[in-house]
Amino acid sequence: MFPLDSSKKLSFNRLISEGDLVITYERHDNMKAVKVCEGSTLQNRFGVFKHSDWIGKPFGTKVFSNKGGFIYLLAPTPELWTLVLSHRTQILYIADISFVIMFLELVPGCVVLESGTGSGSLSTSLARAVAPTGHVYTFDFHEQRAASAREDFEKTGLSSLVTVGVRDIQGEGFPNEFSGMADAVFLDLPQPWLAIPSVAKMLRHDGIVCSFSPCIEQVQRSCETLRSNFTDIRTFEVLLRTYEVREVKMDSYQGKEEGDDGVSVGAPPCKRRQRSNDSSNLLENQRSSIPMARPCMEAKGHTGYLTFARLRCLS
Amino acid sequence: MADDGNTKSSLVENSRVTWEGCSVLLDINDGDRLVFARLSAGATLKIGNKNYSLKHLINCPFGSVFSVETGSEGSYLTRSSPSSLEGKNNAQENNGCESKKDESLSKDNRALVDDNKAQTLTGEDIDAMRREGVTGDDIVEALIANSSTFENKTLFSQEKYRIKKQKKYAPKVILRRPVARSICEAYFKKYPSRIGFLRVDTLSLLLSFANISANSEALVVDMVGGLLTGAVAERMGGTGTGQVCSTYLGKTPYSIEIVRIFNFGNDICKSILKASLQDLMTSSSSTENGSLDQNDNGTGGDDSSNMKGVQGGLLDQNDQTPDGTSQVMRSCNKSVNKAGQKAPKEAIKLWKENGFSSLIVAAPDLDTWSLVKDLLPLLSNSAPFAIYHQFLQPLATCMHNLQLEKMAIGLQISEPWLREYQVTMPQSNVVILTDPASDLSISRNGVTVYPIQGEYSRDKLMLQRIRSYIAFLETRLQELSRRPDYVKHYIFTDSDIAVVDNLGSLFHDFPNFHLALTFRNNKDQPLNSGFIAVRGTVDGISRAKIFLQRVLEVYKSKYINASRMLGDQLALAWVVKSHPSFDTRRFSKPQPFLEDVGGASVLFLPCAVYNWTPPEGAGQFHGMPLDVKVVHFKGSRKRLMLESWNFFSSSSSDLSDMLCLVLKSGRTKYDF
Repeated sequence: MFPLDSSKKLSFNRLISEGDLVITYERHDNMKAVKVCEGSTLQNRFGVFKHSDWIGKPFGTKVFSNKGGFIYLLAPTPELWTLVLSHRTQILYIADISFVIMFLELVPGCVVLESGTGSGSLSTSLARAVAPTGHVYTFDFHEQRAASAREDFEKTGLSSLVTVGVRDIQGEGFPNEFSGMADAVFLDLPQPWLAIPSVAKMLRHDGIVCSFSPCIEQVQRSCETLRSNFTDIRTFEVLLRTYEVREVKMDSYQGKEEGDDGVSVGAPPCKRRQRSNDSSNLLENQRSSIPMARPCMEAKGHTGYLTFARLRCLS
Repeated sequence: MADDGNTKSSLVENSRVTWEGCSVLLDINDGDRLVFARLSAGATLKIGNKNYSLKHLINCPFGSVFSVETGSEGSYLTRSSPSSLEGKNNAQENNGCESKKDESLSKDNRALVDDNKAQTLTGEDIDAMRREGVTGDDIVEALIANSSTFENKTLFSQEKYRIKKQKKYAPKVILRRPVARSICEAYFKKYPSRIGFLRVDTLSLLLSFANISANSEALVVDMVGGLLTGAVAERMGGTGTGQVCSTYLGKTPYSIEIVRIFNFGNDICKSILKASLQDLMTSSSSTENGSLDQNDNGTGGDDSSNMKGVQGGLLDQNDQTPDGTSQVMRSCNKSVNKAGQKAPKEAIKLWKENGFSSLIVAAPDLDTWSLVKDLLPLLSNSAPFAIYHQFLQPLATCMHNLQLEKMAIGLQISEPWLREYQVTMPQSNVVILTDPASDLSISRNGVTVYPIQGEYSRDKLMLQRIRSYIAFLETRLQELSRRPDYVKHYIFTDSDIAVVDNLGSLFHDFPNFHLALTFRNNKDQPLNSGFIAVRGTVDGISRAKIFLQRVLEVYKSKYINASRMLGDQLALAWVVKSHPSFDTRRFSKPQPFLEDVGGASVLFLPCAVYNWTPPEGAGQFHGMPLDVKVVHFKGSRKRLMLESWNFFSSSSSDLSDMLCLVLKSGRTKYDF
């Protein structure tokens, strides 16, 4: 996922070995997390891939199937993991995740509380931010979901950084043992305001809470509750717009005038220009092609509002 | 866990309290001015035309608020006590709410004349007050008291006036921790061109996409003043083995002055290194191994890469260059930070052998594609990279070429979009109708006490209540005749009622009623008088008034001897039921319905939602259904209300509305 143990750093020399988690990349929108296992195979529309072919190859390698199709074997990152993990709940995506990490001011060594765990998409990034000396304590009231999340953290090698608890945070608040210990708290709950009094207890001085809610009514209620113990209450919405890049060929203005093949694609009639017969005509005659970008047709819309607040300084 | 805590607190960069020599971000008057400073006995901060010593800011927790106080030695900054602060915030919040149906909202500026005569206090008066040690807050109050026009301003402009004067006479300074987030926000606000218009959400994406963590070996091209280098180093935290290498073209490293603003301890400073691109490249091509590996995988496209870029949020001219010579931190050159040392040969050798694990480029002044082409071979296998540019085209060209040359996969250009929202709750005003003889002293925003003459003896209390409602509605009709467009809706409630949801929507959702009552499936007392909503139109108020007058008559003629707390409800029910077309069976289903009663269109609302009573229990309030909008603490339950009041007041003094109780938090269980 990310180098926890400095001896396992990503490097030119690090090779894929038995038990490694790799992300198989078919296309940017088609990836999968696979645990490498000597006798196993991966099957997809490109054919059958033997894991045994992968072992000993560097990460990033292109590997081939029995039919000659190919995929890439990528080293996992929290960003890639977010794209491949199994969705047990609605998950947070990169724009929200990275903004949360930044605004919670997380650095290695921080202690973070999270509820609910959901599919563990955010937890993975939280763990990266606080590793190697910090810890993420994440809670979900759904026992089975918590168990699945635990399995996932085992798979991604993060179990030493993330502890999953089963608890109804809205009803019971966070466990008292974390009182005054948390540098930051993240809430993704249907009624976050219920947990806010407990959050105030958990946070260290000047600590920060973030609450993610899809509806503005939830945000209003949370903000109202936050006002009693928190300051710097700010609500944001972050979206990501993606662009596609195409090489676009365009006839140049003069080129068309010179060109005698008569192809004039909707170009407005224009005044013939006097021109000296020098070598530049040759260049002008060519069609120029430039890579250009345009916004992708479909973009992810509203995900949720992110409300941040800082525990009021009382000491 | 205890261990984690200890490790953390030993790090300077994570300290929650300032120290001498500590770098801070000073937020003056709520973001009006942002100043980076280093705390020392001699350091000063200029606010207005005065210099204030920063020595009082040493050994204070981050997040502290300071205000100006005048003593024998002149003005100085002093820490505001949390309680006084809360009061102030509270006042501000309440004043700032827009949906107030307060009278002052309807005021306008027609009577204001800009002749400079509104303020009777002179400059000399104020100076004299200051010499006498009057606090800034009191000066502001005096200015308000002596302003002949203040009273006529709208609530908004009153608040604006107060804030303006407060900024001048009682400036507020908040002590902030300089971290990547606050530094980026401050620079983006003050000098966006110096950081290449790199907004905080974009910076956070760069760090995520490049997979920066404690043990990363990150290569950065930082032509944004050191913000990027600092942010990467902060993520690495100095606890792991991670290093960040800031590389540059030519012989002169790019300035990374902003790194000094972070409070980095030695470990982090040591992890920040500089190396020229030429050094990194020549060494990498000089070793066969490295280059071989690269070629093997290079052809296959070995980088899982996320490319991101931003079209500078505000398409500003890019004629300013991030010159990096920050003038902000001039006072701190003696700092021991040795961040950005030249990378030792061994480090370069290791990078060459293993490759960098991440790459981030923020170089608005360099040709993106040719730069990236040289940088990518320095990365290890499958390493992610992220490239920032404030313009789109360089990224488009770069991405296109990377695809053509099959140098990377998973390429994507994305542009983050960030919007901050102002969030307020719908607010209402509370008018307390009371006996002029009662000594109710309530001074809270949005609460007015409205004495009405009458008979308030115990056995006439319910009778008087209806009379008071009628009297109040009469005054509203008079008000409306003066100002016909001044429509405000009213809800009469008992004093043992807590409103826990927005009731304003009632008037939109049911546009046709004149007044609304609450009902329950109870044969003898189907209607409760604790909640009566009245539409604030002339029609609504006058019909409601006639309706209540009818109830009053029935009360006097039929129920005057009924139990003294019940008469009004019985009268209410009688008036409704006596209407020939009324079908009482409708009370059996908790659904709202509209019915004409005596010329008024009456909306009947189920008590289950609009007048809900908690079950009586052993001194406990066991929560309530989620759709409840109004809670009625009838009878002995009043004790619960009192206790929840106390509970709420003890946990916070920030009670925004008389009717907003702890209930609002909707906790499922309260033990008092």
